[in-house]
Amino acid sequence: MNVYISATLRNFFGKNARLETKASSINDILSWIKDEYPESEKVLFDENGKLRSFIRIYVGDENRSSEDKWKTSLSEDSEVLLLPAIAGGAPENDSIIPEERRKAVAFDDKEIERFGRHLMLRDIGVKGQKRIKAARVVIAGAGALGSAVIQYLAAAGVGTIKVVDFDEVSLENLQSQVIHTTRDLNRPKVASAKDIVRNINRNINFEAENTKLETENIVDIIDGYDIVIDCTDNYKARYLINDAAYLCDIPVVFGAIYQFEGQVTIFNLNGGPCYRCAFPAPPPAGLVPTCAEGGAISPLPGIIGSIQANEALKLIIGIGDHLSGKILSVDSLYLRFKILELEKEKECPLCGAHPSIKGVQDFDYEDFCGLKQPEEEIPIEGFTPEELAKRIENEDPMTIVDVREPHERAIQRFPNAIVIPIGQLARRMNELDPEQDTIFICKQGMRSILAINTLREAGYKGPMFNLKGGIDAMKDIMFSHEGAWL
Amino acid sequence: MTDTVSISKRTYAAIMLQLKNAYPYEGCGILLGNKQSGIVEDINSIDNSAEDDRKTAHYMIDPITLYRLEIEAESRGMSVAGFYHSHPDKAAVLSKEDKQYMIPGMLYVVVSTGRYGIGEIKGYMKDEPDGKVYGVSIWEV
Repeated sequence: MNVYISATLRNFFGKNARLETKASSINDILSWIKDEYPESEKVLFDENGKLRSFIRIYVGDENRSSEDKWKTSLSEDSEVLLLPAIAGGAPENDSIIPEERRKAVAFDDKEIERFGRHLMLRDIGVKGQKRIKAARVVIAGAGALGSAVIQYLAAAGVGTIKVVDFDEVSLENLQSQVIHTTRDLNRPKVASAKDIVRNINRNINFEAENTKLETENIVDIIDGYDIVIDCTDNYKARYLINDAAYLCDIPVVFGAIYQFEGQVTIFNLNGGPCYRCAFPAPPPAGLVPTCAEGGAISPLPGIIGSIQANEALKLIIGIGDHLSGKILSVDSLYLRFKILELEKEKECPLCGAHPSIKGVQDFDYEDFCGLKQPEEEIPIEGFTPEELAKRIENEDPMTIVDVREPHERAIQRFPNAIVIPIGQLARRMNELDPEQDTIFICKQGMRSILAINTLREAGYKGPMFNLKGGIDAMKDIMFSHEGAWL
Repeated sequence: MTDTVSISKRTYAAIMLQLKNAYPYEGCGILLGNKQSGIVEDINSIDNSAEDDRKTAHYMIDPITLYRLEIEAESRGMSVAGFYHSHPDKAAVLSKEDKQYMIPGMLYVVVSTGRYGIGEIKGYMKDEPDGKVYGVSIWEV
């Protein structure tokens, strides 16, 4: 008997188009095939041994795919065809909220009034507003981006909002983190987030997590939620959120800002690319400053955070086009908005064809993000602000090198320091005296480590020390010869 | 690295024209690759055989139609490289049904169509029957 194999399936049959067999029924043919072409079994049958839904067996032009037709013996000259059924469909419900949860939601008169301007939009309406109320959203980070996202999602009527942040409000936060006010200083950021949400709508189920994201807690924090909005400012948190969200099958609306520029995109949506597809590895520690070090213009997080909130609402309602597989890049200084394509990577260690990361515990985030002191490297010695102050008071012989950029020095000059930006260090290392201790300073003590490593690589042999915590940590030091150092 | 597939300019234009005209229904067809060059150089546009009321969100290609077309293609030195279909008013992402029917090793091109014509165009593939789906970038050559 002759068995024809569709061109689409031939890779599993040694590329043969036609097979000759003595078997005389479909049952016999299938078991003969299993012996002859073991590769083909997994493409023909699922793990329960049932014929896969896309495989069709024809005899001549008659469909014999159902099992009850497999015993009949066939005549010697009949031709059996193994063909695929090609079918598919557009996604029925574009919303990430399951229909049964939407149907369980009801509105009272007050809510009808409150959300009237959503209800009158044809694309949102009662159905969409119910999805918004049924939604459970995690907002990671109650800083500048989080401020915009928290307020708009609360105002839009998201039913459950969880905010995760370990930090407390400090004065410098108030320039852009608009949910916190002067009276919130030194309070946990999640506390002022809670106040603002309560003031907007007391019916919102608000959950505060005053904790830092770690491998131990990330899955518990996000599992069971519909969407995560990444408003964090560091690589470790971003990789943790991305990986856990992928493993829990939750989409992430990602936002990031730096100085005048921002980015928004969506990861892990319906098999779309993830953060690791876009950024396979973080930059070396200390190279790219966070907003705390690099600064950002005040309204920028409002722009980027508002777009994040808008993207999240569209996914919840199931409307419009969105940023999965695309990155929106915003330059607020020259008002350029660009959309860049983002491809899913086949070799991605998380979401690629052969993933190596199967749980957040499998991965060393501290090491990956350069937060660990590598063992093989010589550890960098440093002084605490108190130790350095003492050496300055004692007038110990030493060279202090300020590696900050000119505009940063304009805010706060470090007395008696020589100025060499990081990019010029290797070239200008002959300006340093290798017989004398050299202390490197920057704003937060990270770029100064990079400076020391750069000089080491360039072959500088003199003793080098880092100012731990940078100039920020020195603010409170008092010198005896002055009232205050600053 | 992301896999890439090359489609000839003429073929690419023909696919887009067919899918644009099929709106508001789903359009579909077979991608034929040149066995020598590996480039997708021809298509067989197919009448969507899903029932009328399902055509806006479904497509189906009759197995026997595929059988006849692939034999005809082989006689011209071509082979089936994969399939294309459109998602009217929906994103070019794979639906549950799309994934369920994916044949390992075949290219699936999904095109989002709408009132304003062609939207997003995405390529997908998987290596193993229960394996993961990954993106394939499409080049016009």
